[in-house]
Formats: sequence, C-alpha cells, structure tokens
Amino acid sequence: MTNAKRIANFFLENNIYIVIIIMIVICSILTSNFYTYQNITNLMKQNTIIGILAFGQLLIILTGDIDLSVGSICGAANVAVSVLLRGEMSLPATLMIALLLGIGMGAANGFFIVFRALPPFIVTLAMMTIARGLAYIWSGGRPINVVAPELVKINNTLVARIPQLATFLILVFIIMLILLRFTSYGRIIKAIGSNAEAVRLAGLRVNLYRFSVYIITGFLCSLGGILGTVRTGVGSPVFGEGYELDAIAMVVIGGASLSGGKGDAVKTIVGIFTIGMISNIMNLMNVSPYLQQVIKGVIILAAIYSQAITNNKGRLAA
Amino acid sequence: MGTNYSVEMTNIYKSFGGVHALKDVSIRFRPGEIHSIVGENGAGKSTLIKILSGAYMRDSGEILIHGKPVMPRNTYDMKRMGIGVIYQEFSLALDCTVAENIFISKLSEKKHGLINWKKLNQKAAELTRDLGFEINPTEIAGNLGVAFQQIIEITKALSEDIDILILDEPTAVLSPLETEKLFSILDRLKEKGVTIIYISHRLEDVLRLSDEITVLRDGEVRRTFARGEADGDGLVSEMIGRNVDTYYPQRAKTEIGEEVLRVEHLNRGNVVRDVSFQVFKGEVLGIAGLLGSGKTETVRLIFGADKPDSGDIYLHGEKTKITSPYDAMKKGINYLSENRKEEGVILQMPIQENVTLSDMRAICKNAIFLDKKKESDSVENSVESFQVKCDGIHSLVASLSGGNQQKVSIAKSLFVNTDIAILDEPTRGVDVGAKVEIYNIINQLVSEGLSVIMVSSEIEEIIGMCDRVLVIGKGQVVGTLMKGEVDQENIVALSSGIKS
Repeated sequence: MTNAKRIANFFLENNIYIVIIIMIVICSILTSNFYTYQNITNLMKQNTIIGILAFGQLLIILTGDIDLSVGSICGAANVAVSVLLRGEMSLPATLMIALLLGIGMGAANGFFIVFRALPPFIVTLAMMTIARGLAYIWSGGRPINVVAPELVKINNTLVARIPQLATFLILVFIIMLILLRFTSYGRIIKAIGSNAEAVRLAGLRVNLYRFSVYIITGFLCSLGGILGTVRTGVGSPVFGEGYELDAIAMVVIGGASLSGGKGDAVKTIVGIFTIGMISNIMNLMNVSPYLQQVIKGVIILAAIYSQAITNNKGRLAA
Repeated sequence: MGTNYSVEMTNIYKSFGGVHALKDVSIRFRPGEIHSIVGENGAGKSTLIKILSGAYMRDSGEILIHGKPVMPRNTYDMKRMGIGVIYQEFSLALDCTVAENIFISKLSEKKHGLINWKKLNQKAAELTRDLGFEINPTEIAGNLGVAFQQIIEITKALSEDIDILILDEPTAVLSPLETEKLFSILDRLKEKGVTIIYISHRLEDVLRLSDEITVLRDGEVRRTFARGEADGDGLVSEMIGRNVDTYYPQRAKTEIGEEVLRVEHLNRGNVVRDVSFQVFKGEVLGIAGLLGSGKTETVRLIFGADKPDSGDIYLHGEKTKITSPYDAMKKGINYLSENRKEEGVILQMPIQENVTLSDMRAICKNAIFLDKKKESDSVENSVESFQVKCDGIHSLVASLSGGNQQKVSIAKSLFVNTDIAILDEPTRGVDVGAKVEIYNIINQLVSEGLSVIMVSSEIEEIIGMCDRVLVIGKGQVVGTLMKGEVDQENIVALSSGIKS
C-alpha cells in the first residue's frame, strides 16, 4: 500500500472524528451559548443515560445481534426504583433489585436468542413491550416521586467540575475501552460477530459469550434506569421510550457494522455525542420538537449513507 | 462440419493466473447420448463445465452449439442456446410448490399478468408425468426427498427448452434407490434426444450409464472411451498415472504407539452409518472417500461439532462423550475445517488475531488481559514456521492468497497443543510448493508424538502421507488399507464402489 493510500484509508476509517469536529464548529457558529460551561455540562448529563444504553447495544451489535428492548428495560428499572422506595424498601436493597431486574430481563433475551435460537429482533421486540407493560402496571401509569434525597442529590453534585451523573458514563466508557481493546473477552466478542462458526470450531464456547453480552446489557439498562430517577426525580413509565433507536443510531454512527464484528468504544462515544449534539443545538435554536425528529432522522441517514460509501471505497483501496 | 454433434468444443484453453486449468481440450457431444467426464480433483472438469455453461469465458478455442459458433458472456447466453446445468446444490425455492418452482420464470400469462393456477398445476403434472413420475404439483418442494427435488430441477430445466443437460455429481446426495430413479430419467431423456453431459466420481455409475467417457488429467483430454471399451481399471489408470513418490517428504521413522482414539458404531442420520476405527499414537490415519461420502461428517462427530445419534468414543482407552468443540479441545483433539472461508479463518480480522483464537489463555496475563507483546512474538514465530507470505501479522486474512489463508487456518488450529490433530482437506486450494510445506508440518507433528487424522479427497496425498487409510463410501467404512496395500487403484476402486 502506498503512503497516499494509507492516509486516504486513515480518513475513511476515522471519518466520524471529522464529522464531530464539523458539528462542533457549526454549533459554535450557529449559537453563542453552545460553548458555555452550563451547556457543556448539560450536554453531558443529557447523554449519560442513553450513552450507557448505547454501550450495551454496542456489545450486542458486535456479536451480530440487535437489542430493541434496552429502552424499555431501562424504563422498567426506573419505575421499579421509585415504586420500591415508596414501599419503604431500603435504598441499597432497592438498587440491588433494580439491577437484578435488568439482568434478569437481559438473561431472558439471551436465553431465547442463544439457547433457543430465536431471532434477536423478535425476542427483544417482545421484551420491549413486556418491560414497557410492566413499567405501566407497577407505576399505575403515572410518574412516581423518588423518595430518596441522597439519590436525587447526585443530579446536582459535581466531581472536579464534572457532573457526577456523567462520571457513570465516563466509567462505562473506560471499562468498554479496556474490554474491547485489551482483553480476550472483547476480541472473542468481535470474532463471534465476524464468523461465529469459525470461533466455535476454534474451541470457544460461543453460546456462553453471546449469553454474557445480554447479561451485561441488561445490567447497563438498569443502571440507566436508576440514573434516570437521579436525573428526573421520578420513576416514569414512559422513561426510555425511543432510546433503543437512538442507541442503535449512536453505535452505527460510531462506525459499528450491523452485521457484527466491527465497532469501537472511542468511536461509539463520539457517535453518542454526535447525536446528542444534534438535539442540543436544535434546542438552543428553538427548533420545534416535531421538526427536530425529522431533522435528526435525515442527519442519521446521511451520516450512515456517507459511511457506507466510504467503507466500500476503503475496501477497494485495501 | 458434421451437424450430428450438438456441442463441439475445439482447442479450448483456459488459465487462472499462471495455472493452466485447461490445455487444448477438444471434446464433442452427440444428442441422445450420455457422455461422462471423469478425472481427479483439479483435472479441469468443473472449469470445462463452467466454460460450457457460460460461467467462465475461455481464453481461446471454439465452441459450436448445433453447428453454430457461440461466444457466451454469461450463463444467460448459454441458457438461451439450450444449455442447462444441474448442480449438486439445488436452486429450488423450498417454500414454494412444485409447480411454482418449475415455472418460476414464467408464472403469469402474458395477456393480463395473472396466474392461472389450474393450468399451471396441470402443466407441471404433465411434465413430471412425461419423465415417468407422479408428483403432486401443489406439494411444497421442501417436503420432498432429495431425489424428487432433483427431478423438479430437471423438469424445470426441460420446461425452459433445454436440450443439453449438464449434471455435476448428481448422485452425491442420493441414496441407491434414488440413484436408480435418476438413471431411469436419464435414459428417458436420452430417448427424447437430449444431450446429457454427466460428471461424477463414481466410476461404477459412469461405466453403467455412459455411451462415451472422456478422461481429463491435468487439464488435458487423456482419452475418450466408447461404450464397452473401458473398464474400471482402465479408467483409473488414465485418471492417475503420475509418479509422485518423490513429491512427499520422507518422514523420520516413528514408533507407532498405543491406541489413543477408538470410535465404535458411530451413526448420524444417513451420512454416517456404523463407523468404527482406531487411531494410534504417532501415526497418520488417512480418511479417503468421494465427495459426499461422509468423511467430513464423521470427523465432525469426533470433534463435537455435530452430535452423533449413537455410537461410542474412547480416548486413551476410556469411554468418553464429546459434547462440543470446546470439550474436544479440552480433551486434546483439534480440528482444521475443510471449509476455510466459512469455518476456518475470520477474513476480516488480522492474521495475528486469527492464529491465537484457539488458545487465548496462552497469550493473556491473569487470564483476562491480552499480552500483545507475547502474542505478536508467538504469532511471528508461527507465521515464520508455517511460511505464511504476508505483509506483516497485522494484515487482514482477506488480503492473503488462498494458499496463505489455508496456512493461517492450519496455524490457528495447531496453535493449541493437542494429542490428536484432525486435518480436513489440509491442502485444499493450495499450490504445489505450499502443499509440500504442509506435508512437512504434518510430519513434524507426528514426530512429536501426535496422531494425525488426515481427511482428503486427493488420493495421491493420502498415499504419500498416510500410514493407514480408512476408505469411506456412502457413510460407511468400505475398507481399511495398511501402508503396503495403499495404492491408487485400491482406493479408487473401493471408494467408487467397483470393488468391495
């Protein structure tokens, strides 16, 4: 490969960074208050929960599957926290049960997908409505105040000028980065997404790895649900609605391939903030929420289309 | 030019890169005759068919169809000339009905674009009846047996006005009874004046069926026999007949030790039937047999890649159950898949990550974190000892040539230390130089005290490499040959059913 080709390939592989730089420039030109401390911390808080879900989704997508239930599991855990606290359960027990709830729902997904060989799309679609339905049943259809001041307080706490809420996302990001780059687990997950049969014949327990991914994602969903009570102060049955699609979009904008095997933690965090910034800038510019949805959809489509083109070119050049 | 030939191929040349797949091949086919083409793997049979069906373009030479010269650019061109190919894998829509499959390309009537089901089903029934079979046209194709599916394929071809029919290994997937059915159809088609070009490894069938037999070897026509001129031995000696003794590296004398593996009465469906054999320490056991004979299926059972219906496996004299490839590797067995691209390597990953996949613990600190230095050192080592030609161990496997991909696949399965190495078609798609390197690797393994099970459809390498040969035919062990008795004629005769 010539040097020129190497450089070209580098840009093709890393065009997500170019996209976010352009976004930042546009944002700072269009609005005067984008670069304020207030707005930056707000941006971080806004994207913490959905970002955590996106990392769960990343693991699933790396193995070549898809999870439509992340938003609903997040919502179920969110409601569970407020309901259990109102029932005068202690905070540690509440959090533990909420986490186990997400893990259990993830395990149910994994069981049917991995050990019963049902299609991920259908199984997680079913779990999406089951978890959402449970959230409505437990809450009675109304938001419930969270009676745990120590939990709600976190929303306004800062750690080294960073919102404490966002430190959870940073932590998840660092763990994912290490997992995917420096551990055998991460490599096996990616290999499964590329060619599961070759991995199985190399003597690895592909089913266990695939199952574990659903457990981890379930855990991250309930973590997101718990942080949702922190951010909103309530447990709401509609919490997390539509997050699954945003999470998928973030992962895919971050360069992951929906057919599995390709994806990266750094690019995913860039993908998370690329989508997050689109909403943020439109809010700052007072764009109507309905029009926001249309614009967001168009931008996602354009970004992924441009990646598909460059990916094809990249393959030719290689 | 005599127009009593339906197809005339004259002085056909075709090469891929530097390799001549076909050299000056001239062959003619008559209507109303069954003309078989036989030859070893790599003799050029499939290249010849692909040129005739339009899938490949010839480098030079002439093709006449019914006396008219043709220059096909794709398979559609040839289909319009009346040439149809029935491959081993059928191209049926298994959820559609028999009639829908037969008329898939012209379901609706031109006039109004709607389907006249009654007429369609009637026509389908008529066509199959013409071939001598009563098949319900509204039956779902997937519910039929393989033989009937093949009949549908043939009916479909004939409904498209095809009068030159190429069959590629048509009996590989058929039971003896189903084979009989196919033969009766071929006889009927012959009477109708269809030209039938028949490719098969089963010499017994070929001898029985053919009006003419052409033997290919190394891309050249060796000889064309008329009916009655050839017998099994004659064909076999034309098909082979190359001195290969010097080709296989000498192995240092090794002691053949105690039994390490014993398999008793292994069964799986129709493909593996009552297979029993032993493997000893320090030997290369060859498993020979035709395509679809059940070789691969048998070794996959030993590796736990598939589950047997019944049968026992003994390792070092102790009865054991192997439940998965993970389990097999823990018990000291590894497996090189015959299917490099789908099961052997991960094309979109670097060489390094491919090679170490089968033993990640060897390159990890605390069993969790990858030790990349250690990894690249050991991969550099194995890339060197397997002589993989690459642009560094971080290149994607997809960027390598087929032979080098195969070496990566071998390096990957041998990265972990085991007692028994099952190598399924270890030299498939590999050039001569690389083959010798792979043979050296096998010899090295055996001298280290491993037992190697080598599955191969290349008879020469089985003879050149193996201490003992198990011949498998139609899922059963049809013979075991000791070193002294192993020769080409014996193996070919056993596996093609001429001798038992």
